[in-house]
Amino acid sequence: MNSWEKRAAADQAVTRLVRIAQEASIDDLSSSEEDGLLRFEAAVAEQRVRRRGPSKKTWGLRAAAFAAAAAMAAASVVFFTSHRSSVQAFEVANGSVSSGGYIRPTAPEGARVRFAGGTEVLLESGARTRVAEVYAHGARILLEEGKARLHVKPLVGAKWLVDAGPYTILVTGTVFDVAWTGAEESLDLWLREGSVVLTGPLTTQGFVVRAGQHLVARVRENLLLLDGQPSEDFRIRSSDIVGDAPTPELIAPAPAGAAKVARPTEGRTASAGAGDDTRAHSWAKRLATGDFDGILADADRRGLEGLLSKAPRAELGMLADAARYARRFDVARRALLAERERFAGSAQASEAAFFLGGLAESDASSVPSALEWYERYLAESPQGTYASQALGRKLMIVHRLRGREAAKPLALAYLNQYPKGPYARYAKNLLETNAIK
Amino acid sequence: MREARLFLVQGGIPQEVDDATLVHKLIDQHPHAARLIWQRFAPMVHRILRRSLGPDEDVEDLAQEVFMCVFQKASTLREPQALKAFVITVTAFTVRGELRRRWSRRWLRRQRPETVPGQLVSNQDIESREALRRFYLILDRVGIQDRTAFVLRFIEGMPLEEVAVALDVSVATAKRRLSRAWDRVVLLAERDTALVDYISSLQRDGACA
Repeated sequence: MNSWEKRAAADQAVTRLVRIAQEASIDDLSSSEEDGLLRFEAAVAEQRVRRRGPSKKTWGLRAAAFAAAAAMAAASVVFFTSHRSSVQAFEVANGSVSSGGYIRPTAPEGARVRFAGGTEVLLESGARTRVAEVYAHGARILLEEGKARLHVKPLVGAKWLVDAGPYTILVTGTVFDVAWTGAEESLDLWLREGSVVLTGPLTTQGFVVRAGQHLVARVRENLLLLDGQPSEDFRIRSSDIVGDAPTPELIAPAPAGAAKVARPTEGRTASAGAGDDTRAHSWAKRLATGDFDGILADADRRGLEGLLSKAPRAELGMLADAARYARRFDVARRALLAERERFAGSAQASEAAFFLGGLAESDASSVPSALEWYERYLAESPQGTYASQALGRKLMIVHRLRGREAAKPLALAYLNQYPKGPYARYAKNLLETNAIK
Repeated sequence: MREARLFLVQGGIPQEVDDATLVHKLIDQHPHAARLIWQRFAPMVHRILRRSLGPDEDVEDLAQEVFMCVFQKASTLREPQALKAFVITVTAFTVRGELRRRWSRRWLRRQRPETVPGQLVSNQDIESREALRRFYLILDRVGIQDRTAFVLRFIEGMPLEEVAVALDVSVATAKRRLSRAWDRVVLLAERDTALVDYISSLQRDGACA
């Protein structure tokens, strides 16, 4: 082969290699790449919070707390088990760890998991946790049952995820407590520092929870509440955690107003009485600050009937939201039905069907009607924002009302469409149980 | 104690919204704008990163860098409708930065590029994987600017004008870089006789058809 032929062959080879390279890089994102959206949203949320005005950290106190914690840790006699991965190691004190990363506290005061980067997790006695994935800087922790406190060290490029039931908590640098009760399908999240993004049922778009807030999610009740209720102390020494010494701001009892905002049924009277102060605010601002009762009081003043028949679409939507969050289900139902009737064919009307399903589920006698609403939503918006949730809820209702066999096709359909969706585990369990039988 | 607040998810932005509107929504801090930008461009950004660095590379952190940069700089866009071009430019600059970092690391360790770690993401046969591994070793020996131009033009298939915009150079400069990059890649491929033989065998077998 002469030099010209060699050059031509090399030209052809490169052309072919370019094609191989094109074929090798597919457009689909891997599951971890898809998780990147949550990371990005959390980073954006953090950035926006910083832009609004960063809170001054008392680094001196934190350093002192770190020194104290280090000294106490050095003085204490603990049993360490080391579980090493190719990426990052973590140690478990007062607990056992299986090769699969399954951690079980062995001491009554709970266990402590410490990662190489400085992130620590305290587990209450009885908590069932698994370190599902370990990344270069971060990990995915499954909280199957019980309560955990995490102190996540902020590191550039770190990714920390906590799965609790159908919820995923995307963590940046922060301290928080999280509790999941599987039997009640109930999540409690207390933010002590920083912020996290929560996704799952009712929060598919991601929900930012910030320092001092306590979020309650009750999947069965279709309920999501925020308040300032502090978390109870852990039995294991919390001083083991760097920066755990709570600031006065965090350990102070929640102000009455904050608690009332978060517990609408308790605070309705007080919020309504504060009408003069809040009148100037729009409903949107009131919604953003959790003043649902103020919105409802305003609606009562203006005449609920008139609003339902004449209010603009956005206002009607806000009324429905406020009523749902304040658990005024009668008002919420009427507002949602009005949305469907007056704005039929719109996306909002379609979403109203989903929310009506949720409201129907809150009343045991209306569960069949919830199923109808979810089916209606799925028929109207098969790719809608709440489609995965609607299908998941439909799956659960069918399972409950008609049994496993009837639910099996739905479980398959759910896993096919949303293999990592919030109800995927439920669907898999249902199918697996079926297979055994 | 800070007052408890409930941050409600506001109404979404229609998926089909144009790029200019999306930029304005992002500047207005619409809660769904960041998500929509990610959903719209993430496949493209990840693809360019993988094609630039190797298909089995972990590009997740780099993709985050790209999107954070887009988020931070979106307000400076003089032509919001050119969002896609802007995202490509940011991606190209991120690639160049990463290649520079890698080059520095190799230089400090006095190592030549030897291996492409990990396994390929696609269902390719072993020979194709090996060919691809050798191909990215060749690209590692091409200048960073020329390599980026090569990837955008030939692997990503972008028009010359768009390549020039992404690299922030004139069309003439882009053309020069492409020509230089192609010649360099061909020269290095020519020296890898096993690679050329393998590709030739593919063509003989009609695999290129």
